[in-house]
Amino acid sequence: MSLIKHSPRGMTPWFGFDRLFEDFDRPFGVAPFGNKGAWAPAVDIYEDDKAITLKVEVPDMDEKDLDVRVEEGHLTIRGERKFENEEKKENFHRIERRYGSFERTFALPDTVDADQVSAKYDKGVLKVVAPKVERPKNARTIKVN
Amino acid sequence: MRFIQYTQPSAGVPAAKTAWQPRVDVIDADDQYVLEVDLPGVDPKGVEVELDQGLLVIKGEKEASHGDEAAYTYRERRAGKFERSFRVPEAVDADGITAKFDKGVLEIRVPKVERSRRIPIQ
Repeated sequence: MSLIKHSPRGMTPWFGFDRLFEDFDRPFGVAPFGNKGAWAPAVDIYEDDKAITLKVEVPDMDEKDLDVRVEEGHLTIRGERKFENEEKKENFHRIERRYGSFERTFALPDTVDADQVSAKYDKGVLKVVAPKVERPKNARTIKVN
Repeated sequence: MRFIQYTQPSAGVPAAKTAWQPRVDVIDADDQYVLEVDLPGVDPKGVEVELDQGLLVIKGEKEASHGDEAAYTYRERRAGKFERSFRVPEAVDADGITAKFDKGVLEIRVPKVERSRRIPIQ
């Protein structure tokens, strides 16, 4: 991640200052932005030259119960793990697993192509891949007079 | 919206050297005990379920999301060896225990055996 990034959205007089603090808050480029709901599933984020990949632990769910969307540079993963069991609740000796709705939001850097984000569910893990875009280098050297 | 506080540079826990413990629900149904173990992303081949002297042991190993530690920008998932043990009531049918894996959940069914049996009078 480079500290100097061209961002048309951030073109305020203090944009450089803002970016500095943003980068301070999010030292790894992509980081959880916020959580809502009864619980927050565990997430790993890793990055290589081609993509940023998220792996989210959401066991015992169906694809249709998961909602992944990209809006305004943010990736949001929502869902609900329903407490569904044929057994009566009073028969539970121990309940450690987490149930209910969840929502996690992540800030996507502008180095990824938001239109190409893909998601797949397998063995209780949701894998979201955000491919990176090749961009011409916008950074240029300003000559100091 | 709530913001996560970054108090530690790693903002996550690296794979522990000691075994981690998966979350388990235990249900006492009429004719059996049911254990539901959350093991998302775990290969069923690497999981062992064993009943030894009244102790039901669930253990195995979970692969990390990525082999290269340096590739992570954020990490919360547990990886590596895991283990849980449960003291099982005496009256169970050890040979009848079944285990299946689906959508990242290991389900273990432990049939009960009737403590008292009515003897038919001939």
